[in-house]
Amino acid sequence: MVELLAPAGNLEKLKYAIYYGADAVFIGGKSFSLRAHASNFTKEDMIKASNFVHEHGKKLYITTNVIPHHADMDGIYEYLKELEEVKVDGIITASPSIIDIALKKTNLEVHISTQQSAMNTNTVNFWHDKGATRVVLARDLTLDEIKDIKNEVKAEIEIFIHGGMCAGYSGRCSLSNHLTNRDANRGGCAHTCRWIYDLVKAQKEKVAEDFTIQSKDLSSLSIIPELIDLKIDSLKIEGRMKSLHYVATVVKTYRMLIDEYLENGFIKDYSFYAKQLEKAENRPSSIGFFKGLPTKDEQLFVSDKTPLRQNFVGIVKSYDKKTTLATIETRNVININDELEIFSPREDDFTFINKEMYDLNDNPITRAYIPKSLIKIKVSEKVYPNDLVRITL
Amino acid sequence: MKILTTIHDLNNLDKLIKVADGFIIGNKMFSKALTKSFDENINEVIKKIKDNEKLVFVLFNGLYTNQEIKLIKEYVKGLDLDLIDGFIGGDLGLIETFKSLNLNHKFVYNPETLLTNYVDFNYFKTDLIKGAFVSKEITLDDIYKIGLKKEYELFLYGHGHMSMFYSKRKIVSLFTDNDLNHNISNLTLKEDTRDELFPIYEDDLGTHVFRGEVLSSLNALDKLNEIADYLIVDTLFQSDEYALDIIPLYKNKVSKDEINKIKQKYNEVWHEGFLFEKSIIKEK
Repeated sequence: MVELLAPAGNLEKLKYAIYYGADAVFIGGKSFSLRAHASNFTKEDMIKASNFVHEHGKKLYITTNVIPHHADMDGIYEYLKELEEVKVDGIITASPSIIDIALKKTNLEVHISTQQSAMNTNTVNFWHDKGATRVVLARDLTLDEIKDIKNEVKAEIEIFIHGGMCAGYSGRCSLSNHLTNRDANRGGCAHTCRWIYDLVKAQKEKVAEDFTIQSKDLSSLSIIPELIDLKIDSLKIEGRMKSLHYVATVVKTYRMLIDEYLENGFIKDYSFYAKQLEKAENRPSSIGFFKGLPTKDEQLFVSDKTPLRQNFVGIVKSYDKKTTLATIETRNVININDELEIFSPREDDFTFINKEMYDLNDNPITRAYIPKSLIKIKVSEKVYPNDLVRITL
Repeated sequence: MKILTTIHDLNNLDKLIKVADGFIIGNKMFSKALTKSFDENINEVIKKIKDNEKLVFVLFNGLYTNQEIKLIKEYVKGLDLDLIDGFIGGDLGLIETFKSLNLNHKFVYNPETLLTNYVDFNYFKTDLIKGAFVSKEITLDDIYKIGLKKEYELFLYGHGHMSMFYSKRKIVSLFTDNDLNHNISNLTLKEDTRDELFPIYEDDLGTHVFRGEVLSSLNALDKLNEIADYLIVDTLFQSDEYALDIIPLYKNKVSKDEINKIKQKYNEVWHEGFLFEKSIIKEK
């Protein structure tokens, strides 16, 4: 069965990834992980994450995907032994020194990160022969090229299906290092490919002033059936720095699509899933390399000025059957008469007009604006803890 | 430490062999950022270099699909293998390709950014490779530590425009709708807050962005001479005349005045990459 693998930047996001349908979650610890700006997990949080994930019959992977300099290498063994104690199901890693210690001195399962840009069968087999269980392929391959690899390898194959993409080959880029001194391969990427540049001809003639080399994000709803048919082992959503709402929305959308395809052998209406994804805070997206070398449609040549949707407004904490009032922890402003949507891990999402809203002392209110405060809202149908509330846009 | 360089015009080989110990050549079908693509005549070039008792390395510095790996294998079979000293490649999949052609100890692994410590550098010993390039983004101290513990030959980029970005995407063509007639030397990126112009261009393998300023390792020479086996002087965006001027600076101890004369001659700004300045992860 294909695995749906979700990102999580903290314990709360991890729980929502699981609630909303992920089969496995990947997180970063405080050491040896890219995404230095993500919250990342302490050992204590990793233990909680491991327990939570395993109690739900799911899997937990930890990224240890830095390319370490000598000064970064102290403590690798001790850290990997910690991960072993935490009982993680695998590490996602790129550095041979980490791979070697993990395979020789721990019982950790090793997955080769996309930072190694595996583009062909030989490379996948190289890592499999070294002892890796899984290889995450480069994001620069077409479906046919992926098929060609999958047919010939013993290692499990993981493919990115959604989220941010490097404009160049991952792991091989040093734009950030050179332009900001921040080391992309040690977690400091400054996303310099997303900066706006002038394109200058012959050292002096400005031919464009809004040039970027960034790509659109990846979104591959229409590709999922083919990836399932290819027996790809894991479908990965990128975004450890994304919000809880983003993770829940994207995970649930792909969960439903995968389940529909596995059950029926076809997808009745892709537009339904596209509409669900639109509710998350996505950047402009495309199918990347899946159908061939990217065209102009897959590039993002102008600054993304689309305001991010802030439609996620709260989390259901409890529900009172008698009063039909739901207690909500707010995350954004909620006004009386807003059209709200209850977004749940189940299939019974619904919308309603917010006609009655109270503080915890049952005083009527017309506007809730303090983040993470508790309020009560009259809902039209039964809701459950951990359902999400968003304003329909 | 031997100095390897690139070639723009085969007619200049007679002059270049007087200063360089060897040459890196390639074919545009499989190599990126070439000064010149040697196509049908590549075996002739290899023979001419070897007739002059110089080293010759063939470059395969892309990342390749299965189909491309197959093409490379066929291409390599057609090369004069006995004369070639090494094959420089950035794709680990090539190790198996060269092994299958009984070319053990000929592959030089150059992933550009990934070999940043001595454990990672030496990891491929059992894969029967000839050597590896240290990462371009580490300090001289880190390079030196790798050199002290190296288990095969150590290569490094020492002089030239450093590559910063490599994408399979044809980014410039897509943006310009192919109407700029851009070539290797006439397009650059300019960021508002920086004076440096960054060369950008495309070739058969994709889009590449380079530093506008030129990497110089002259101030690191004493230590590099102790531990490096090969230093590359890459003349991309320059000329064979440039190699003739630069290589002697690395071969002989020269004064700062002589170095400055060369910089002025080519109107270049030089920098020292990360040799003496370590990159950071994020601002504290």
